[in-house]
Amino acid sequence: MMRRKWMLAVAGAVSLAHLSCINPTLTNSVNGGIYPLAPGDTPFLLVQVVNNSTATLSVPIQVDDGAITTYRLEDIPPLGRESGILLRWPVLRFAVGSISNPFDATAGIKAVFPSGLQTGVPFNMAALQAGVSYFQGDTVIVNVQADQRNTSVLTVSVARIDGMTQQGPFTGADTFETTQLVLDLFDPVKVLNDATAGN
Amino acid sequence: MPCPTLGTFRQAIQFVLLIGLGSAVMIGCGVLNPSLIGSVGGNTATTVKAPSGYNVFIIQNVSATPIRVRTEVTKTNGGIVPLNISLTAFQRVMRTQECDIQSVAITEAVAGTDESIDITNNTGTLQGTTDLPCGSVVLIQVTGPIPPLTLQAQVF
Repeated sequence: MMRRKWMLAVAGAVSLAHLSCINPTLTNSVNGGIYPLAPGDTPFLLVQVVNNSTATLSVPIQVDDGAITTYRLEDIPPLGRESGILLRWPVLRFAVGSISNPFDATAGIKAVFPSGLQTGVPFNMAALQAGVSYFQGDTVIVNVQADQRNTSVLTVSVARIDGMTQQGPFTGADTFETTQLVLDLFDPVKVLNDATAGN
Repeated sequence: MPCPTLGTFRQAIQFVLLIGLGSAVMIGCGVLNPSLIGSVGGNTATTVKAPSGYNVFIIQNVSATPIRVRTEVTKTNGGIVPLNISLTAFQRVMRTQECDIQSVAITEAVAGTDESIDITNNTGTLQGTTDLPCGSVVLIQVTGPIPPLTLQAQVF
């Protein structure tokens, strides 16, 4: 009996030691987080590119919001690690490189390795679509990493932070609510009109 | 050597199960890990570490002249991420950086296409710890009906 209690105690200690493994998005949604990890209930989509390779990356993000626009996240170094773009909703679909041909390496990510080697990295998956791969308020993380067997070969994978779990309340700054307010207050046309009226 | 008794055998199984449970907790936590996010499409075995928060940079052109702005974000690990933005008249773009910023400096601001005209920029370097707490929104705005244009940065 004592030996069983001892075993249970050890098992409990092992579990307690890993309490940090409790999913923080669950914690966020239950207890409220510090800062939002996704736009949540604000009308945005966040696309974040993470560079987990040894190359410097230039990443084109092609977006279809009724019109096709290409945004370029340039020169993301390994040490800098990441760069992102915040898009106003609706974003019907987007891809890294080309929406129409996401398997084209020449239209994809440009990687420059420390040795000088340059290579193109295709998205290698169909364009992500609203309502299927992501929803309003989500963060989509595009992760670029090296193959463990050959560091000159890069692969792209995609992860998603569900915006439904990032609706607050937040003990820290509510980044995306603030962004929405700033956009409304400082609309370029409004700013110009105010400046003209002031003159 | 005496044959193991049933009790010894049961203790051995319990020990193995205990180790397995502990290992499962540790390995499983790799899946439940706070900072690992499930993937969608592509390689489903790949997970990435979640950020701690974001800073948003809104760069907007309130002028009728195309502009080009280059901003350097220095991370706490020394890495430098350039934000090279080219905007047409009255256009704006929003960029994000995770909350490991040491400083932000606007290193170049020019107007026009064929003939670059320097934009007056009195914004100094923004320090991450004092000027840019996590969750900040930085508005970098270029204004002016015609050159000379001015650039201002405000932190919210």
